[in-house]
Amino acid sequence: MTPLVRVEALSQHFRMRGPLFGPRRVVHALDEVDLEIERGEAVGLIGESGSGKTTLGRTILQLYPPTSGRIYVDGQDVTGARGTTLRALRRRMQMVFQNPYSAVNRRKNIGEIISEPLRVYGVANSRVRTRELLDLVGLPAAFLSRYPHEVSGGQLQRVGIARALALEPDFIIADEPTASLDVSIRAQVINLLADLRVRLGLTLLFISHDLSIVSYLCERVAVMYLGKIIEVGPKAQIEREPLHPYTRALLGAIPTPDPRQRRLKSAPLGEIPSAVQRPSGCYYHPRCPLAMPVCASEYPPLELKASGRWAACHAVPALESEGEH
Amino acid sequence: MQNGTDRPGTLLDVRGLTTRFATDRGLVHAVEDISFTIQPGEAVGLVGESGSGKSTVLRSLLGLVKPPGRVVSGEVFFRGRDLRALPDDELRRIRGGQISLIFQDPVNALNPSLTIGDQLRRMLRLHRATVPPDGFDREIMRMLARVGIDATGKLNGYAFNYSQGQLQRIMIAAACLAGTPSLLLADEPTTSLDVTIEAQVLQLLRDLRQELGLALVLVTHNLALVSELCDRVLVMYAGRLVEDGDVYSVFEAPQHPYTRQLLRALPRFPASGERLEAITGSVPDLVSPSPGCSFAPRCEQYLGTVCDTKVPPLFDAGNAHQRAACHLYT
Repeated sequence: MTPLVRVEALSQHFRMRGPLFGPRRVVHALDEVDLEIERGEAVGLIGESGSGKTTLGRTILQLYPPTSGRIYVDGQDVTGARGTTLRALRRRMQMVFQNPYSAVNRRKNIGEIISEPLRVYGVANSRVRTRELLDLVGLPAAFLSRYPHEVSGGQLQRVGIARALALEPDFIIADEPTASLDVSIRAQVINLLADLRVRLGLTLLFISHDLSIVSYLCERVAVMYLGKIIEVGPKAQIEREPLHPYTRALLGAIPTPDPRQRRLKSAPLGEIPSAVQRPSGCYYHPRCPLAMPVCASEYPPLELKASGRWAACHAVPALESEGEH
Repeated sequence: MQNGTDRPGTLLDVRGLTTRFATDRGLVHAVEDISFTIQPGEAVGLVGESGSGKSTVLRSLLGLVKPPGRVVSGEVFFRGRDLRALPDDELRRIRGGQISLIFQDPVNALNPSLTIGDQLRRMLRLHRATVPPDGFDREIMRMLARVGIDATGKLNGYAFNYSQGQLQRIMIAAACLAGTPSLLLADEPTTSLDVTIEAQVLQLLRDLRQELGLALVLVTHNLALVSELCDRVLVMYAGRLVEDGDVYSVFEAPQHPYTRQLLRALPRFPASGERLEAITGSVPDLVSPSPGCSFAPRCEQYLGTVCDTKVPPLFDAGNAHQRAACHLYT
């Protein structure tokens, strides 16, 4: 089956101002990323700050054109789409943002916020549809006339989700949608996303630094480090037995709310290097407990290591024979 | 309520602490009648969601509440002396010397226009009379080395020359090693850090605490951090203390319905496969707090009128080391 979204060698380089008269510096936010997302699937994209996860989401949505690489939707190359093609594409792909307060126009009431995409795309009966959407995210109709400052963060995030769903997209990118919410509210939003996914048959790319939330929502996980995807695979298997040493470090660093299972015994070494001056070879090698000489000179390819499991690591043997897809 | 607070060894004894903020909407009852004690060397997590008053408690202890906020009443006994009754200059010497603080954002806690070396020298001058000025730099290098920073030739660097994680280590060095503290107050010390760096900082805090016999009050919204680092946990909701107990009891058999519901709403890793149980409703408005229990409207064990009309005090609940402010335990 053709994946709903496929990116191929996608790169996004941002130029920064360098020192006066010095060379300009380039941030390699995304570095030749390959990823496939099947229809109906929920993929968790995890990584620490500077890993490129947000940039990947935004580049897929074509909020900015990629430096190089291709983006395919339903097998069609849509890289650099413009005009009506882009408009049609945007209708199918929507985003839910981290901070609901900065993602909405505070001078508009909630009815206007939700119906805005309907108006822009000239959808008939937008009144009825707006009420339906509000109901879909579990908010009462009385909210239509309220303003963002009159509702809580969790309620406003529901509004953000309702707006993203207004045009019946098949693909949602949610970028840390629960990061600014308190625990008691966060659970409401996670449950809502899980329900909506099933009810509407959505495909979801869920961007988060919080593995426990990804663990609730997603079937497959992609791990990023310094602009590269370093491991992709089924969630349960990655949790049980991470292949890449960085994934292992990341999972081992998650604090647990169970005092009988304190895990912070051996914290991972070192800090995340800058995306301007990346280490040679594998970007993780200066922090890696398994580093070998080859790791300092050659970036390992993202290759099939076991059925359905990909990792970019010299220390993990590749799957033999049927190595081609 | 007395809760064994007269034990001779008690390091910190907080009684009836109440702090309010004057806003144009009215008085915000940020902290209402909080009492707790800390024993020497004990690590206590003060947890709650945003607006629960946990950070305000910390600031109130040290006289750091700024107008329009004001500590309205209460006593804060540190080694038997009421900090609220001390003159400013004496309080300032205790702050940073015997009681140290670490904040969430190390970037804002440091002065961007002074070198790291200058800022640490100032702290030594203020809190460590035993070190002669010509020995400051060697002492600073030793302090920084202890927190994993090789500062050879880098003391003239500024905050922007260091990463977030390094700055938080520097803050920890300043807090734990510049003076001779017996109590460390940390307000969300790892919230701005990435998870691998957070793990390093937590480990460092745990080691230093053991090494120096420091008591710790860790203010956080993250229950997992409390479970990793603390012996005891204080749970706050809407400005009040609702549960107090040792970590094992509270995490395994929470007694207050809020604590119980909160733990069930927490995503676990790996996910259990079960649905998260969200707490319905949202936090109350602290301008007009309920005359009864603030959690009553969201409580799954709501008992009726008594919950709406009477604020429950902390009752003994669960095991011997646990108390909960809930009418279930009258």
